[in-house]
Amino acid sequence: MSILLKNKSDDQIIQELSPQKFGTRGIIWTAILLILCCIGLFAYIRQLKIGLAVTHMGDYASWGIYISNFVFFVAISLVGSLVTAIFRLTNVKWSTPLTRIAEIIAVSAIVFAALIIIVDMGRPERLYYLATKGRIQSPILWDVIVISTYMVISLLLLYIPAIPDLKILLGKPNAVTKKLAPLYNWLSSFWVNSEIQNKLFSKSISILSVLIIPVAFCIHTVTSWLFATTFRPGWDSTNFGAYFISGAFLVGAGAVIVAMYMIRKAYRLEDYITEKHFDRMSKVLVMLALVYLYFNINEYLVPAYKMKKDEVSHLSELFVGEFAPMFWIAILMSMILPILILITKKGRKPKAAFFTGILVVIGAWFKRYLIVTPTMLNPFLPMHDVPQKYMHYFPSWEEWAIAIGSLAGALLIITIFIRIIPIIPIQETLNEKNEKALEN
Amino acid sequence: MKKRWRISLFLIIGFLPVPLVLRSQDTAQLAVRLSVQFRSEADRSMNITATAGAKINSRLSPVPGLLIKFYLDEESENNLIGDSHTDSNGKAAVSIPASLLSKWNESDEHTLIASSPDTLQFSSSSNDITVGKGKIVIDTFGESNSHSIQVTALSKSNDGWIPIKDMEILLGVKRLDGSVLKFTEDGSFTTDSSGKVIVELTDTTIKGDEDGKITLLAKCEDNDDFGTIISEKEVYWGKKTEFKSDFFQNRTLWSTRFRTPIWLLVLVYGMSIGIWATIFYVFRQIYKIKKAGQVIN
Repeated sequence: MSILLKNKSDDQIIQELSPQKFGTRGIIWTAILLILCCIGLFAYIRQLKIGLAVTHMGDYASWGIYISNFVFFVAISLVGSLVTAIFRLTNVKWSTPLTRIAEIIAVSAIVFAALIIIVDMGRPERLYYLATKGRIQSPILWDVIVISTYMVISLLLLYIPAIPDLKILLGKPNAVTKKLAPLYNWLSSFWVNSEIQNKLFSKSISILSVLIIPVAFCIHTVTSWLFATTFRPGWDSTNFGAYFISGAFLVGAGAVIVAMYMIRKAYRLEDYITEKHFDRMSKVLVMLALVYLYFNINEYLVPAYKMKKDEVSHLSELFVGEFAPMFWIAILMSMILPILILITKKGRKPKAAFFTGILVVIGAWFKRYLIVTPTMLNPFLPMHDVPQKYMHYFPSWEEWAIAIGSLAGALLIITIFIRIIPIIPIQETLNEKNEKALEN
Repeated sequence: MKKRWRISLFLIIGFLPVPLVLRSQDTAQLAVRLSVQFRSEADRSMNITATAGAKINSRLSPVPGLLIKFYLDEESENNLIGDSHTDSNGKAAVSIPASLLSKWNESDEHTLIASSPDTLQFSSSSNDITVGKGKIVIDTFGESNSHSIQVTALSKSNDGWIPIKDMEILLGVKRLDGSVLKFTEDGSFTTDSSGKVIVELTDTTIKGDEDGKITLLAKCEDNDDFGTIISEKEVYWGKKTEFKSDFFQNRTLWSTRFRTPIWLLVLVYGMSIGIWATIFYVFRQIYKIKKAGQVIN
């Protein structure tokens, strides 16, 4: 709790935390995202018309940038459980202003994780066949079940804590626009802040906080099993679940820091998202980067030490071959540099932490690409008598457009949420302020 | 000085033809070595195989893609058995066609000729093999625990089929891949003066098909007089193999969705039901929150 908040009245806090109309920058930002989404949609319509032939995927690289993007979205969605549930259950009070940011990121990421997998299917109606003809033995079906479950829990964890905030805003005529008022009314008009409601409210959040942790672990473990249950170099690992989860927490934490900085700057929320929050989130990120680095050393050093004949080409391509620049840059960007920067006090200042967060997120995206593509191009059985193009993979413009469009779409959802609901929980902020005042 | 010039001129003139000689050697036709083999499978086919090889870089190497013509007794169009191109191992094979069977039956001994024509790379070549008509007959006698196999090697002569003595015969059971499961260590037996070999088979563990059927095989390989002779006989002496037809009927991870393992069903549905029941419980709490608010209002 910032000392500055003590001097603010409740009305002032409500006013400052109310969703605000976009300024010029906000409109430009939204317009850019919309344009990118439209380009992605155009490319997807082309893919629907022509088929997956518009992609550069083939017999060997049958998983490409779409699956890399899917793993990235699933990873980033895990942050919701980290900040909302784990911090809440461990009574970490300083995380209050970050919970909604984390949940919004989680919801938008999981929505696009589900959408990008439909894109990868080629024909969207195959989703129906997955539901009607799917085999429960397949990890793909487990992934469908767990993603839909996680999406519902994340939405509930976003909605329930927002009920009191929306009701507060309904009571302040200047805080809500006419267009948003019916929505707020439908979502929260029943909230009267009674004892029984508060009891049910706390109980629901506690249940969801407990429930989301195993589901979040499942979502990324099952995603890792999509790879680990396939007999291929680089994926044939019993460690993949833990390796994926640690990476997911890292990229999620990086995304939260980036979002914290941008929201703080755009809405002038320096009194709510303070340097202390950046400092603590940065420390969390250092710890997560160290854990992920440990798993990476395990995943690459052990097979590299043995250099089994079947894995030589895959590991060589990663360490010194075609993918080496991307591999080392990803390791450097997503783990080494964040540790080196954030371990210093200056590095944990908002701007430095923001740039480090960007490094982590970009590095993590490339890391997912490196998990998928080099393995597909280096199967255990050698590639004989195939055209040269089968041995390489670089996404087509349609693939890039769809991938970038999906990333823009996720950012657009976050932007819309920020415009619609208070990005920092108002009720919780007021409660904490009043509790502090009573203690003093 | 003059002497030096003379030596230089001598060397130039002396070595000038060397590249020409080397070049002429490169373009010279290579001699092809042909060898001919005959193989007779009782009641099935009679095959002639020619193997073409040539000395390339001082090593005898197979000659692929070479046209080989096969003749019966003499090189004429009427006696043409057939033609074939050699494969990557330098082998070409043909079967004696039905049109030549009358000629084949006219004599007890025939000369089989293989010849390759003159090509840019290889000179023409020819070779032949003279073979008599031989056959192996397998007879079996048996009880439930012990079986006897009598193999008789016979050759054709004017008076009919006469026994061949001291012939080496490989005897065993034919495997699915064509190799032979031998009865003894080397599997070979020698015929006696009556051309016969009698072998007692006491092994009852040989695996047959679902009816216990096995194929006995007797083979005389690369005999100087008859070539390769093969004879087979099916007997029901093997151990019956039970084919498990319920392999795909079991509940396994690789079976269809209707045969999912029970433990997996319990695990997936158990977890899903547990989690979704909790989610519905939370929905109920939201409903209760709503109701509580309406009561107060």
